[in-house]
Amino acid sequence: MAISDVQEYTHLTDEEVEQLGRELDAIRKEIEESRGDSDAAYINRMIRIQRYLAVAGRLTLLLGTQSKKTRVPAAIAGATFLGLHKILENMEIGHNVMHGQWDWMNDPEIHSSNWEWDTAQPAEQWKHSHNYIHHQFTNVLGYDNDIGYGILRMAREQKWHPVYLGQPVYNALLASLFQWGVALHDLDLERIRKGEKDPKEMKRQLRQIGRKGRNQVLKDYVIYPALSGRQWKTTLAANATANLMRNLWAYVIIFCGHFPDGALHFTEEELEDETRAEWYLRQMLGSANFNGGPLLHIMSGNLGFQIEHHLFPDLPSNRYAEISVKVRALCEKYDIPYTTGPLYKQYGQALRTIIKLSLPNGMTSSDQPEPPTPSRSRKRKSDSERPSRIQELGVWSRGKSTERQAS
Amino acid sequence: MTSTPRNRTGGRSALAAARFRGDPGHALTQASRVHERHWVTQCALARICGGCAMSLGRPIAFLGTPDEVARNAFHLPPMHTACAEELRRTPGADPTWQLVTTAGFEFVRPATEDLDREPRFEPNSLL
Ligand SMILES: [Zn+2]
Repeated sequence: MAISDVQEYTHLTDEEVEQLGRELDAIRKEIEESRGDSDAAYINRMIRIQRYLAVAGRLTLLLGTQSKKTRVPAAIAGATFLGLHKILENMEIGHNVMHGQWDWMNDPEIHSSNWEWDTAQPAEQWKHSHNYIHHQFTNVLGYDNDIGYGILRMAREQKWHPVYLGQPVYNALLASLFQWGVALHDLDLERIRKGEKDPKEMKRQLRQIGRKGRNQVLKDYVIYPALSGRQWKTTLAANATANLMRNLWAYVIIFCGHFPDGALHFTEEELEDETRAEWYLRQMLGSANFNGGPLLHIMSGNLGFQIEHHLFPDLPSNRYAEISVKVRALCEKYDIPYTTGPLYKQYGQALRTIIKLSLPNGMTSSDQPEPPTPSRSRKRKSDSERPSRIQELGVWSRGKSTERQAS
Repeated sequence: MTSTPRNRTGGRSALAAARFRGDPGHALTQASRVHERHWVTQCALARICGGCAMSLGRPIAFLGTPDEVARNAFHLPPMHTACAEELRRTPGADPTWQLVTTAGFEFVRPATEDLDREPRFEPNSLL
């Protein structure tokens, strides 16, 4: 069930919504004021560990595979180190740095405008498709491309078509090739299919993806294997394994963020005039957490605190754990659902939705919980009454700025 | 430069209009989207320059009236320093605009009780 009026769904009064907003503002302010050296030390430590893992992985593969005796264990260890490096770099470092969580440090490298991550998608496109589209229009049908990545049917409101019968297979492909799915994310496949995409912008993006993708392929599948000499095949296989490891992990974590039962979809038409408090409320209802220890949270980029991340996407990720205690208490106080559970259960629910929605609605039932109290039914606006989709970036003097960058 | 950008919010806010001097018909028409809520939000989150739409750099520049500088609350989107300088020189630009640079900023959506009804930027590490 997608909901069209968040406040009505939660049965909160205007004053309660605003009060909740003020309490969340206070949490935000407290973190902003206490942000400092120990947080900076945290992200620097993560980056160091991530680099050690990369060096350890590359060296183990280069040297360890040369002798027949150590070849197999070196390949396994090397692939594992590399996989962990990619996971840590993509999830806890790249994703969070690109949100601007560490910009306040004024570090020349750890900054949202400079960080380029170890995956096929160019950082610039990620910052558009993820930071803007996904975080601004979270779980809003027709806006947020993270709902099924343009491939899967993830909400009952999305029209069924026989092509979705293959959904379990597409899902497995998306999971194993996740970095390439993400790479194509900002292209917005659905708009290309409908012929709505500006061909010039599409070409520009494709060139960018081509360049970045080529460099990734060269690094993992040509240069490092070549450096291993006669053992190139082992290194190539280990690198492919590391990428697969990162792909599967990132996919599972991301699908746990918005698809377990309880994370709601919206058909919100009032996005334009949403106040800060209403925006907070939509973010809380559209996201789902998972439980785990500190290591699990670090390796998932602290996205187990998806609710807190969506409330405060630009606060340092190492503070989400302490924020979550307060947010959870607020949810109890205001009787708002706080969706969480063990990782396997959250992913299990997302997978069940993927499988169920491969079939027409009539053949399956919804797993979404009932709203806190019954909400009035409300007439949904027709498509023609809804605002048109958000505009492409860069309509104004794109050429000039490219020249500026190049000069 | 292409056409004047589409404005889906139905015109500039009073606050934004108040910043304009001279004839708004000629003033900053190319860059008028720097006052659009959609564009400002997109720049804030996608970390792109409000002027040229490319990835922001470091430092990040903001243009603001003395009042905005004093409140540390800016309404024009973040920009490259060069783009901000250029916008400041554009005919129709507010002559009181000051340029401020920062490494980072908080993006603050308006709350119901705020007198200021526009999203604003609060630089958090002024340079
Ligand atoms: Zn610029």
